Amino acid sequence: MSIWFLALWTWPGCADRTAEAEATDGIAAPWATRRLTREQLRYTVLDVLNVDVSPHLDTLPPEVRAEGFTNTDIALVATADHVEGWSELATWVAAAWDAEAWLAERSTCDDPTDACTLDLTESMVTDLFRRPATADEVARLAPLWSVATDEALGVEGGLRLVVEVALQSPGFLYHIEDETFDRDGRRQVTGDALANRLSYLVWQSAPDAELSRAARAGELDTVEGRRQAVDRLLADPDRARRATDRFARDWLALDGLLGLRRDDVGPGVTEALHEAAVRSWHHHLWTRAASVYDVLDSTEVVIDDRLADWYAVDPPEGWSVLSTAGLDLPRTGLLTWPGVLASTADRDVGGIVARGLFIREHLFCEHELEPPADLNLSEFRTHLGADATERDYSDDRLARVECAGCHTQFDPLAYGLVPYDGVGRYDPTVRADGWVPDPDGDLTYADAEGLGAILATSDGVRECLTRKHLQFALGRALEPHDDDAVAAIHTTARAAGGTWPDLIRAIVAHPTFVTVGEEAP
Amino acid sequence: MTSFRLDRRDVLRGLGSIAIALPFIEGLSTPARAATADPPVRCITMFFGLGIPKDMQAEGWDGPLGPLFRHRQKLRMFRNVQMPEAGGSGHPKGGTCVFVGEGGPSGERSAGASLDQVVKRAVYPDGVPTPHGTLAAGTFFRRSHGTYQRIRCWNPDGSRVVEPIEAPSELFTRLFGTETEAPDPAAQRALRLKRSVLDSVLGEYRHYTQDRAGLSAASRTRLQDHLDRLRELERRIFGGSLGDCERPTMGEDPDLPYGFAGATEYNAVQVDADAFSEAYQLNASLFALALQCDLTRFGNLMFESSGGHTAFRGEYAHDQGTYTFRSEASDHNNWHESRWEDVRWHAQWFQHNLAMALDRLDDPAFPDENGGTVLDNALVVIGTETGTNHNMNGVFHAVGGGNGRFALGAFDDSEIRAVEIYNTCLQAYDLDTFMGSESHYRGPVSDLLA
Repeated sequence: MSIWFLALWTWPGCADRTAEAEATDGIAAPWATRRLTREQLRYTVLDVLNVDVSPHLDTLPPEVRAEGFTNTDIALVATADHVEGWSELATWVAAAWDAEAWLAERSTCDDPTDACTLDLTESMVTDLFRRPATADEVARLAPLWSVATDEALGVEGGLRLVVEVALQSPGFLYHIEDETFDRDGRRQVTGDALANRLSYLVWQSAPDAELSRAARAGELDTVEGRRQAVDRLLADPDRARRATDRFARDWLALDGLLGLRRDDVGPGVTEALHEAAVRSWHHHLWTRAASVYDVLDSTEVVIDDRLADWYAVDPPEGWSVLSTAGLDLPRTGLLTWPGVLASTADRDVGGIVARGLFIREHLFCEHELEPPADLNLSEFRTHLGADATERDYSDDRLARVECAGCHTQFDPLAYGLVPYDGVGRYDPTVRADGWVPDPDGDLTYADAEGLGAILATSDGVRECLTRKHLQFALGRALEPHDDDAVAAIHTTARAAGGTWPDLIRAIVAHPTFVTVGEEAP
Repeated sequence: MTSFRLDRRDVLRGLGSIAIALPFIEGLSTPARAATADPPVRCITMFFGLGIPKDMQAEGWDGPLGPLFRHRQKLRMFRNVQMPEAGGSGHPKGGTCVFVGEGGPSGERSAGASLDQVVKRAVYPDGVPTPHGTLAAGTFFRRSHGTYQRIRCWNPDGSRVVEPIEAPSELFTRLFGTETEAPDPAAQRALRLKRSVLDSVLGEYRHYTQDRAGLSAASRTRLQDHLDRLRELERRIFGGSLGDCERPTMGEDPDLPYGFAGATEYNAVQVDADAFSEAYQLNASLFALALQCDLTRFGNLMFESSGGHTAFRGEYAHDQGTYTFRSEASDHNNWHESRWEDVRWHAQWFQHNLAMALDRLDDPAFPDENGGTVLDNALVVIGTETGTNHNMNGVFHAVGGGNGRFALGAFDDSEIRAVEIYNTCLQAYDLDTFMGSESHYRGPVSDLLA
């Protein structure tokens, strides 16, 4: 069953922003260096130096969720706050890091005036920059050893200076690649740069020694080589979940729940909404090893006692898996997860509009719609009286020619979610039937589970999920010239089963992951 | 009842609750600058959230614009600004369009550089010779919905230039930095080491911003921006950061939930109105000081975020009496629920605070070389995000300063567009550059030019 809509439906007054496809070379998109996210920095320092910077991460500003994800390159700028924060963080890490243990494993160098300090610099820079240090880099940092001598810091103190500098340098903070293009204006990403792309996709962190070895041996330059490497990375149970954690928190805007304060729920509930959504996502992807595309009608969630009332069940002990099949209330599928309901209600425009737009933009990957610039919204918010319901206001919008053009496209998508309030609690007395617009005939549903069932079988929604994963993998907004890549990756991933590993394998196997086009003039 | 009539000299003498927070002002000295022909080019934007209904703007000095009366000769106030270049209604569109001249592709980035950044790059292509390239400060508590809520200074690529600082103490530290004279040997040693570290870090960025580093122009640009921020950090830490002033002392911050991450329609943050005002006034004072001491020449000052959801507690004393804030509802929800009297008094209270901020910019105790104040000489553009309830009809703007370039002292009710105001400002400074939406630009606002 295909559900295609919206690009063909342009009504007067609807501020449509359909992007026009540009004539490009398709898969070889431009690329520019981008910095590590705050989270990637945390994981990298943990994995390379075994230092946990979590308690000090607030010295850095929170990441901006641009185009739906916090790793979108356009938002990864270095503000004055970042520069100051990196400086403070580097000082702290250099002091906290166990230099003695590191030196004990690698060196007998015991005098900062000895030439062996150059080897220490080379070794540390190689680790932190995720590729072999160059002679120039070692030479540029050599004066730090003179400082160590002058200040009587010893070898350990000198090495801490090297760490402090390296943690603030472009080689650490940024993904640096050799951006030399061939005569056709393309370059293939290989070697350490490719290892970095793979490890930061799956582990959100630096490559390990084996991945670096494979990269330098050219083993990642083949599709099969990348697939094997990715399989090994995915087999690490802790590190592999970092990416799925970040993907869900970005795609579903879950982190907005962490600042939510409600007086009508018990203590810790808003945190529980967040954690339950993330755990349920991981349960679906990793424990059940289910297809990403099936999450919309998934029949299992993970909850704790704080959310027992949401499901009308006895409070479980600790975090527990709950089967939603057979419950007396509609709780099947991602759209009924309380955390998702709470995050999608977190908008100015109310439940139906906010959730309808969420489904349109994040499950169908349709472009944003905006009200016309001259519309006075106050005329449409209170005129039906205090007893009017959200559904009444939606019916009113659909009856107005100035509103219907846009609102028919997404209001009905959210009718099934109206019974769930701003923290995802269910009210059975509220009407929940609706329809999914379709040019071939609207697809009706009775409640949220019916809505989820329709969306779960939609080719459009499935391909949108693939698109979201590719966007996350590439760290940039997708353009029309990426459509072929999306289609190809989607075909491959679906045929393989549609699990998270299937998607990642399909992405890294596709040329768009390893080919860069020269920047447009 | 707390009076919001702030007089800086009264505050210095210790009157009122504000005095506790502002003793640092006493530490200032009048800057002594080398005589130059013209004051430096400066551009600051002043933003207030949520807009003013167009019919209330039309009331002139009898309406919410009343507090600006004492600055009437130094402003040109535009009451019929249309902003179709926003590309739609609502806060993400308006919030990314104000001071840019075109709505952003999303609420997370703009369509181009903001006015202050356009001027900065055009006038100082090699970098601004001040410790702070761009300064942003303000009092607001909503950041849950998108970047557009708090960012007013945008780069040409649509990314944010700088995060606004909320807590006055943090702004103070950013401006006046740490002590440059370390009294004890351990602190002096720490500074020497920090110097060495920073020198090496700067060397790394200089290497990567060179052509031979093997990076694309776009990559080098990003690293060049980073290098510029590092140089600013260097100036702050290692002296020369005070411009033309001596380092003052700082009191305590007003009691506010700085950094609060939430604030949504369903979860408005409740704050004491007096504290909110105090924090803004302190930030405005510091911002004005930064300009007067030549610590910065570009940036933004913000009162309430774009689409803010703040529920105020307390009262606003005005010429006609007292307004008691409706603490159970946010300022934003007053619009959604058409509570127009509440909208009126909130809007007037917002302008009351802006007027006090303008007082600081217009302080004759800190004259430029030509005898004018910062408000006389800098390019000052006041703007908001929406017009008559979330739409782009009547998006209040005002232009001030310009050192004689502008025809000030008037209400302007001609139907103009924000992008036309911004580009007219550029033309007034003979800057051969265009900003914002070309398709929505019909020509300069000729009446704005002197």
